[in-house]
Amino acid sequence: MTDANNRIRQEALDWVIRLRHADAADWAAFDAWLGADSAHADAYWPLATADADVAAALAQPLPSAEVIALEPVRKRRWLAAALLPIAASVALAVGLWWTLAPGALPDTVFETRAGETREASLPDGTRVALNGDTRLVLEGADPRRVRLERGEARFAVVHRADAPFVVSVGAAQLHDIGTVFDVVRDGAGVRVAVAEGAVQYREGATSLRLNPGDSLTRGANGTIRTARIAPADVAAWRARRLTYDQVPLELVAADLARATGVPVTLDTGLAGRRFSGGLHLDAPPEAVIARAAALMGVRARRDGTGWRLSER
Amino acid sequence: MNAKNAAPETLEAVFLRDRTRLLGFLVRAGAGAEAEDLMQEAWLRIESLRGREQPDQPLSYLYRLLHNLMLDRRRSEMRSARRDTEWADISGGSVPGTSEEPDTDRRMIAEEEIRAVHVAVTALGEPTATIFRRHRIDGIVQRRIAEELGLGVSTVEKHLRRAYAALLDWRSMRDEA
Repeated sequence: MTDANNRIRQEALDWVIRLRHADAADWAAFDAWLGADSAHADAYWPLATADADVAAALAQPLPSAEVIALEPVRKRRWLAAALLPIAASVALAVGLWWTLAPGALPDTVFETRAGETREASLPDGTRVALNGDTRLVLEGADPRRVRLERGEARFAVVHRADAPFVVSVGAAQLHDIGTVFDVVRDGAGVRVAVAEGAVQYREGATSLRLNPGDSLTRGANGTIRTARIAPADVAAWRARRLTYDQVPLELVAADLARATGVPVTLDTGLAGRRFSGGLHLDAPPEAVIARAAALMGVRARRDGTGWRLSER
Repeated sequence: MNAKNAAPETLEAVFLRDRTRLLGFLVRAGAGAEAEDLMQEAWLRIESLRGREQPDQPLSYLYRLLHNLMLDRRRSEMRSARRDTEWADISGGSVPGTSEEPDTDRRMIAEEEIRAVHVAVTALGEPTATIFRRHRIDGIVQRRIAEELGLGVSTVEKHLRRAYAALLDWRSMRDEA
């Protein structure tokens, strides 16, 4: 940029600031500045529109960090193409399919990678949150039957007396009775914890009712134990993790700042850099930020009361 | 402005008296062929305010009105240009049905945009971020911000310049990206 251009830009910037509180004399001076050189208007308007855009966005409340729409691993691409040429949300496509061809739908698979948590609405309105490395299958044509093949899922079920929501997990079935509950299936067996409502655990001849605060562990050898858990702790993982998919570091820093309560700022050199992955929040702020910095490949150093992220 | 004891002049009276000067302002600001049109639009706004309480400084009010009408046009032109590009990307760039859903995408971009701006302001650090918010969003004059924060006016001015420069640079980089 030449010196003259630079000077004009500085002047234009001064006008953006000064015109916030301008009297008639200021406006007349601005008018005279515009009249002195047509390059002045050319420099001024882009800054003025950027300023208006920034102010408009800033006047909106800050949206919370959140849920990334979940996509099944096997998308019904051809169906979306046929029915909804442009606007095809997955849930909608699946729902339509059920309406059009009951009984004919193959399973739909929802899967997360390790370190990734996601949430989605099932076609019946039931909300499901998946922890990392989880595979959940919607069984065929019945929107009320799902199968947890591995990992951990928390269900907030839309209860219907005529159609219980059933989660199959290994040899057992969980029947909801108006419920929020968490299910884990891993090498160690199956664990169920109920936050709200109740779940009926059925396996062979065994049938157990789990109420809020009840948890059940089924070992790999088939032994079943029940225990108590604070309902608020059911699926606590949901609150302790942030998941990103190609998100600018500025946003990650803001989320970290909000989650830890400590200011986290970014060197300008990192602007526009993106991050994918999951961050754990279940540690003191220093540890959370140190770990996050390591995952993002940046350096974190103390900056007053907070932290500053910079190029490594 | 100089009629200290009299009621302020009406917007209509000042508009008619300073019509040439105001039209000239639009031309100098680069409105070109749209200048007359913008004057018409301003006049309609002024008429709609007839009988209401008139601003204390009618001339500066009129300057701002014209400035903002011009700004609105520029912003909506930029927005529709951006939409055209997006549409071309979606309809020409991929197989229908496999692409992202445009409406959701746009909503997400808007939300991301809001977050990004908040973050960019926070990233200015303190007290720059607070000074910027007080000035730009709350409409507080620099002198009062200086009093509030116990800083000199020139310090506040320095922070403001830094904030505006950083944010507007950042914003225009995003537009070009």
